[in-house]
Amino acid sequence: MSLLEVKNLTKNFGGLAAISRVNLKLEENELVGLIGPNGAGKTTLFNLLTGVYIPSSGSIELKQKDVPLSLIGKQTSQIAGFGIARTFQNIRLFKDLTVLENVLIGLHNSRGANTFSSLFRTKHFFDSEELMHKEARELLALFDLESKEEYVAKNLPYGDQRRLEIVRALATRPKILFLDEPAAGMNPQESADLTKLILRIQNEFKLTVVLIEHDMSVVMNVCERIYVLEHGRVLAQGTPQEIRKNKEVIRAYLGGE
Amino acid sequence: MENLIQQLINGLSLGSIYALLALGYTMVYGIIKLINFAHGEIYMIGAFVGYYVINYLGVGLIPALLLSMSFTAVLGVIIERVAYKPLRKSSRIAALITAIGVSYLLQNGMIYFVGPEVRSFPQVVENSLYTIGSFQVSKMQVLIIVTTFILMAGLQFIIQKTKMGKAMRAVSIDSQAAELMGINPDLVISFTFFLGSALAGAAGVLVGMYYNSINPMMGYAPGLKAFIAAVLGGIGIVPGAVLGGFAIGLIEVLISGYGNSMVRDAVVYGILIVILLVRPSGILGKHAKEKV
Amino acid sequence: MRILNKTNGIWMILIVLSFGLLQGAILLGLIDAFYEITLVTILINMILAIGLNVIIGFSGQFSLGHAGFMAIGAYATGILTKQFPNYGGMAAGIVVGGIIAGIVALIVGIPTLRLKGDYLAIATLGVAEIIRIIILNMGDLTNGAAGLSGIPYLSTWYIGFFLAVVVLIFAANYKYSSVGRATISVREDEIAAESLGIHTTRYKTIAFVMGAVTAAIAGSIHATYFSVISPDQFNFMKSIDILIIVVFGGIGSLTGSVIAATVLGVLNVFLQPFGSFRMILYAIALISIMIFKPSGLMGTKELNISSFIRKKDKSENKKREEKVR
Repeated sequence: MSLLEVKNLTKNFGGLAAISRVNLKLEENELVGLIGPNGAGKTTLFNLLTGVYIPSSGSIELKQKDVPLSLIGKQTSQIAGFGIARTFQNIRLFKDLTVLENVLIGLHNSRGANTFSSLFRTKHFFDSEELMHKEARELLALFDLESKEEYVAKNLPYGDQRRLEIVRALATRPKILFLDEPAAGMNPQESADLTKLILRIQNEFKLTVVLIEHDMSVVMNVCERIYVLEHGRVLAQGTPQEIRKNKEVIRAYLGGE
Repeated sequence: MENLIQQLINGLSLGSIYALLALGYTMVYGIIKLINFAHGEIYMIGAFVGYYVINYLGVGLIPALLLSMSFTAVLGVIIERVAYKPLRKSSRIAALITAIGVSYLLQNGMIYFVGPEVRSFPQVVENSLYTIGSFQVSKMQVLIIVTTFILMAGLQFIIQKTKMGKAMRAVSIDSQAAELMGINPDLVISFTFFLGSALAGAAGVLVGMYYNSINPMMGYAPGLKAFIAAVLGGIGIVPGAVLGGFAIGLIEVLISGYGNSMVRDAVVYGILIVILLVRPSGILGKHAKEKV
Repeated sequence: MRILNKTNGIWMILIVLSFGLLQGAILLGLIDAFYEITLVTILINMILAIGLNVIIGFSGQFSLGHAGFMAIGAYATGILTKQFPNYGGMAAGIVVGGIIAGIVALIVGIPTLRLKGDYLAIATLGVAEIIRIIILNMGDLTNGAAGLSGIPYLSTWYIGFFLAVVVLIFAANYKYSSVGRATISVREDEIAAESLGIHTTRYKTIAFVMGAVTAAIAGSIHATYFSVISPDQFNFMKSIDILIIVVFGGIGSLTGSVIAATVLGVLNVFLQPFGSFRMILYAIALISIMIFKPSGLMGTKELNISSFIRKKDKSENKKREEKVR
C-alpha cells in the first residue's frame, strides 16, 4: 500500500461540509502540492490528518510494517509519534523560548531523558542532553540558523521564524511533513531559496512532503503530484502538466463557465 | 412531603441570593475572563450600606436596596477602573491576583474601620409568617424571591433589548471585532461591573435582612459558593448562573434539612468536582475548540 | 563528573555561604528565637512556592488549592510522629504524606488536565476545601476543628534549610531537562507541543503531582516545627498566600520564588507593629505590584550565573587575543 491512504474523508462543521469525501494517497519520498482557492479546506485537511480535528467519517491509514494503522481517533501527539509532522499557517513557535530550545523540544519525544534521570541527573541524562544538543545544532545548521541559537524565537525575522518552524518539525524525525504555506510573507528570493531547501531536505531525510502553497510557480516547478481542492472536494489530481491542462482547474482559478 | 415543600421554599430563597451573586461572576468572566474574587466583598459592602442607611437615615427596604445598589455599582466601576483596567493587557493571573488584593483590601479595610464584630441587621420588614395549607412562607422569603425575579427580569431586559446589552454580548464574543464596529470595550466592561456589583449590593441587603446578621467576613463563603454556582451553570452564560444559583441553594437546604449540615459544604464542593469531570463547560455550556 | 561544572559550583558556594551566614547570625544572637520562627516560616513558604511554581510557571496550569496538599503532609506527619516520636516517624510521615498528596493530585489532575482553561484552578479550589472538611470530620484521628497539638518538635531550621535546598535542586533539575522543556512548551503553546508528539496531559500531570508532593513536604516541616496544626491553617487564604509569593517573584522563576518568599517574610516582620492595619498595607502593596510590575520581580528569568561566567570568559578571551596580537 501507499505510505498514507485517505478514503472518503469528511468533516462537517454544523451543517457545513468543510471536507467532503476526500480520497488521497501519499507515496514514500515524494513531494506533493495541495492547492485551491481560499476556504477550499486545505488547512482543515491538514488538521484532520494530524488529529487536531476528528473526522466525521472516512478513514486515514498509515503504512506500518505489517498491518496498516488507522489514525482515526488518535491524539495529535500520538500521530506525531507515528512520524507525521507539520507546520502552521499562522506560525506557532514557542515564542518566549530560544531557537535552540524550540528545536530541542522537537527532539524530546525520541531523544529526551525520562523524568527520573532528569531529577537525579543520572549518566543517561547527560548523554541524552549531549546527543540532543548535537542533533539540534546539526539541524539548525542545515537552515543557516546555527548562529542564532540563543535568540528568543519571537525576535527572529519573519522568514527565519518560518524556517525555524520547519526545523522544529524535522526534529521529530518524521516520515511525512505537512507544510502549511511555508513561503507565505516571504519575498520571491527568500521563497525560491526555501523551495530549494525543501527539495534538499526531502532528499536527504527521505521524506514525503505535502505543501500547501499559493505561489503557482513553486508548486508547478517542484511538486511531483498536485491535488486541487475546491469547496472541500478534490477537484483534480495529477502531475503538474496534467493539472495545467485540466479544464475544471482552469475554471476554478480563472472563473468563467 | 410537607417537609420537602418547606425545604424547597427555603432553598429557593437561598438560591435566589446565590443566583444574584453568581450573575456578577459570570458576567465579568464572560466579558474579560477574570474570576473576580472581590465580588463576595462587594456583596458584604452592600449589606453594610443597607445597615447604615436603614439605621441612620431611617429609610425603608426599597430605598435601602436602591441606595445600596447604587453605592456598590459605583464602587464596582471604581475598582474596575483603578485596579483591573491597567491590567487588561497583562497575564490573566496578574489580574486574578489583583482581584484577590482588592478582596483583601475591602475585607480588612472594613475590619479596620468598622470592627470585626457581628452586627444585627435592622428589621425593616415585619417578619410575619404566611401559612398556606400545612407549610409556611415567611414574608421575608417572599420578598427575597420577588426582588430577585424583578432584578433578573431587569437584567434580562438590559442584556437582550438595549443597545448596551447588545454591545456587552458583542464584546464577550470578540472584543477586538466589537471595537472595530465602533463599540468602546472599556465602557462596556465598566458597565458590566456596574450591573454585576449592583446585583451583589442587592444580595447583600437581602441576606442581611434574612439572616439578621452581618460582618466584614460574610462575603467569603457565599462568594465561593456563588462562583461554584456560576461554574455549575456554565461560566460566562447568564441563564446558567441563575440555574446554578438555584441548584446550589436547593442542594444546600436539602442536605442540611435531611442530613448532617457539617457535610453540606463538602457536598457542594464535591458537586463542583463532579461537574468538572463530567461536564466541564457546565449545564448550559458549550465546549469550544481553539481554531488552528 | 559532569555535575561539577562552574555554574553548579557557584550555586553550591552560594548555598553554603547563606547557611553559614544564618548560622553565624544565630550564634551571635542576631537571629533570636522569634526571628528563627520567621526564618523557618520563610523556608516553608519557599518550598511551597517552588512547588506551586512548577505547576503554574512550568506547565502553565493554575492551582488554587496548594494548602490542601500541605494539609495532607502536615496531618500525615503529625499523626505518625505522635505515635513514633522520632526521626523515623517523621521520615515516614513525609513519605506517607507525599504519597497521599501525589495520589490525590493524580485523581484530580488526570481528568481535569485534559481540558484547556481554568478547570484545574476551579477543581483544586474545591479539592482543597474537601480535604479540609474531611480532616474536620475524621474524629479522634485528626481531632476535628481543634486540630492536633503536642506533635513532637522534630524539625529545626537545619531540616527546613536542607529540605528547601533539596526541593530547589530538584525543581531546577526538572526545569533544565528535556522533560522540563517539554512541560514549558505546553505552557507556551499546547497545540504546537502536541504537534511535536508531546503528550500534553502527561506533562501537566507530572508537574501537578510534583507540586503536590513538595507541598506535603512543607506541611510535614510545618507540623513538626510548630507542634500544633488545625484545619484553619490550611484554608483558601493560605493557598492564596503561596500564589502571591509565586506571582510576586515571577511566574516560572525559581530564584524569583526564593527571593519573594524571603522578601515577603521579612516584610511581614516589619509590618507586625501595624497590627490589623498590616493586612490593608499588604493588600495595597499587592495591587500596586500587579499594576506596576505584573510580571513579578524576576519575570520568567532566573538569576543567571552561567551567563555571567560566559560573559566574563568572553572578555577574558578577548584580552588574551589582544595580547597575542
